Amino acid sequence: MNGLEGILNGFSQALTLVNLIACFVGVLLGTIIGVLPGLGPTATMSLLLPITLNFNEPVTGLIMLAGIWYGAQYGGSTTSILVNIPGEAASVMTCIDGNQMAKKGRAGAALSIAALASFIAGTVGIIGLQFFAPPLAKAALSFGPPEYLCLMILAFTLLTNLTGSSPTKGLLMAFVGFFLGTIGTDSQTGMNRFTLGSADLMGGIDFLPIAMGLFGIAEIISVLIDKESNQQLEKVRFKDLFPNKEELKRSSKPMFRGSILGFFIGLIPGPGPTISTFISYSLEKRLSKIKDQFGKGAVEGVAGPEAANNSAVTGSLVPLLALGIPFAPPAALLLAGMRMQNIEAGPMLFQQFPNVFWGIVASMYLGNIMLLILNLPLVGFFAKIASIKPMFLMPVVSILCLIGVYSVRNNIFDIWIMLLAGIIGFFLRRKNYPVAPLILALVLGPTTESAFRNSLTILNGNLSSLFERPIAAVLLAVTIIYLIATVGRKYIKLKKLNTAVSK
Amino acid sequence: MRKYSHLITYLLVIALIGLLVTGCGSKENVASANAPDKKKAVAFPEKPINFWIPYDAGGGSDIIGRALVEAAQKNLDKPIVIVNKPGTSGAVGLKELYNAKNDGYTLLTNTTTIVTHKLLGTIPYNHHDYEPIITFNYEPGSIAVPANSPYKDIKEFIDYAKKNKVKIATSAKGGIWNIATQAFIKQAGINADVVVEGGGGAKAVVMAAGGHVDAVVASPLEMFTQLKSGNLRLLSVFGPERVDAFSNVPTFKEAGYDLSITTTRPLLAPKGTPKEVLDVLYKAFKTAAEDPKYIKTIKDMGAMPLLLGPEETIKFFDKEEKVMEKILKESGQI
Repeated sequence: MNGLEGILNGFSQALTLVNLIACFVGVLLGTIIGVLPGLGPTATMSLLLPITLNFNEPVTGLIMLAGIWYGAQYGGSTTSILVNIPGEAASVMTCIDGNQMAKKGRAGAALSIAALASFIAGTVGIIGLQFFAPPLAKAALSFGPPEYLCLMILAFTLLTNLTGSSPTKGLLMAFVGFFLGTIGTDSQTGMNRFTLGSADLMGGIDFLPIAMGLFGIAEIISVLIDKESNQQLEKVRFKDLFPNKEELKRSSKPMFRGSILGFFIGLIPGPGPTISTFISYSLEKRLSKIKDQFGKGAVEGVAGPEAANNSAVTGSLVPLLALGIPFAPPAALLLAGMRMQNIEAGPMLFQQFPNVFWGIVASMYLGNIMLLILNLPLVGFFAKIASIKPMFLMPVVSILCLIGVYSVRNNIFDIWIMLLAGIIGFFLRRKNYPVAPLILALVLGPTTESAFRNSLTILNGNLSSLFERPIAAVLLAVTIIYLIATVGRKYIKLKKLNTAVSK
Repeated sequence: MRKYSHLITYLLVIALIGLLVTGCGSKENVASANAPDKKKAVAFPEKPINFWIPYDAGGGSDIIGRALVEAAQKNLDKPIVIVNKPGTSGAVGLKELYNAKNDGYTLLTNTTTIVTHKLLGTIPYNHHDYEPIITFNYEPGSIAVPANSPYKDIKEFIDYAKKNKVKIATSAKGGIWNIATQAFIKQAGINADVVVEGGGGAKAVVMAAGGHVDAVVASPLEMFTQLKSGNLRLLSVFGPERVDAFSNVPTFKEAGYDLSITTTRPLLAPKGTPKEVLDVLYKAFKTAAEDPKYIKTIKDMGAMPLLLGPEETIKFFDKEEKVMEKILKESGQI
């Protein structure tokens, strides 16, 4: 079956009434759970998994499961923008500028941009999936620990550029995040590190309680204490609900760049959506002519990352469907759903079950349109939430945080971690310490460490052989060029300043 | 100071909610521990049953657990609710089950780590600290190589690895396949570096499928897709018999070695759960584990069925504990 025939066949399946309903139910559920912080697609997909086995056609259930997954990516940014609470690691970057926009009365615009970015990225991602799945799948396998290590080195180099005011403070926070990531049982030696004999700590510290604490609870505490800040909420007028021309123009390029970037990062093992958001953010910041606006409500800082994390999810469908490799728990559940119906993902999927592959691809085009139609009207509703008085809003948000954090691992311990992180986060914020680097380092730290140690084993302790592996060498070269460019620019600036002064 | 009074009030309220939640749980625990159900003819179940899976959704324990629950649901009037409680190779779930109410509404599936956790000192509990209901499946450890590697069978691989240092990928230290890898290296007398990836065998399998290491040790279920799609080649399984899904692959015993290492999954209830309740659960889950559809589902995925009652489960893990202790000592892990 060739591409055109395939996609037409796919649409003929996706457009049947039962599959359309399945797709709609999936994306609707996805949107709802995406909005609620903490509640992720994993729990919902696992709840619905038994139901999806009972349809006549296996593809119906899979369309629904996939819909929940990519649908959840749309809602993920909502709480980041409205109340500064990232519901998942991939929404951390959206908090920085999204919430600032909301505080300036542009919540509606930020939400619309996020929805639009998700739609474009979703569509770009599906086009990539449709045309390039089998050849690109091999790329996923070519990433071993050494390649991954080099990607992480690049990522951490970019991290220092993320939060403007003081790179020293940002770096310091990243180290704290790195440290928190070492807590738990070391996978290489089985030694317990900083666990104080607690079985809960042996499992490591999950990023979500930390993220919800440092952002969400800290926000709530500041609202309670700094009464003055409450009064600044502006009334949202109807025309403020949608982005103005300038905002649209400024965000169109970041959306496309983010979409393409995210798709490729999604192909690689590891927390792809998260990595893609801050690579996109720092790329936009570098390309922007108004760098000082970043962190104060730059629309590019919402459009880029939101597009990136969405297409990263679609990108990760490539290794999932073409190789049967799940990089994230929702992917693993989709794979489980296929296995339970005796559909084997992998190179044979395209030959043995073309209906399933093309049916899912076609349903995703439709699902993305449904999501856009669903989400744009919701913008008005959500933007109203931003104008609710804190004394009513904050208690509800607190409860949502408690439920959300508990629901991830069903462990009370995580709630205590969140509250502690909230108190610490409050004081960090007072002293202007950026918390995003901490959270990103916490997410990426353990994978970096494991990639580093495994690289040493694989390369027989000789790190210079990194340059003998093409992908790794390219990534390292980019890092070095980036560093030279950054330092060089600073140097030139300094020199100009000096000559100006001496004159 | 006045400024902070709001903060203090807020934190107090949150702390009270937290205490209330934990407090309620423990109070009920004490009550039920002191006075286990006196009723004779049990009305069980009267409400939904929680089925804890102490691993991430989508992993081996999760897929098999869900297949069992689907089969068992037909035999119970109330819904069985699956809850994933991942953490420390199942230790967090085991610890929570130890403290859970022993009324039969909280159950937990586990793996052979139920004996290794205590041996390795992760948590002080083993199978004697719970009420086993049944044992419902096992998977053998197994070793595979990248498809383009020159070794056609386990003998060739071992011969090569005796002369040259090889790299074997597997799951995190303390996990069952890591123990299996150490034991395999010791038994075969080979020269190998172990490359470790956290979070089950899945990541190690991908590493091997990409050809970044010489071999991988994991379960056939975890390798299934890569084996079927021709990225990996299965050399041997470390189980008592061949696996149905790959019946052409010989066991390690057939190759002349004395090593059998599997992960076996029991279903557990908290200690002191009333006998009548346990009987109801035993009947429901035994019927499920005998269900031909369940057996076919798990066999198709590369896993193996196994059915043991409560006493047999205790005996099985007593034996397994000795085997594991020996393996761990010999390979210098304890």
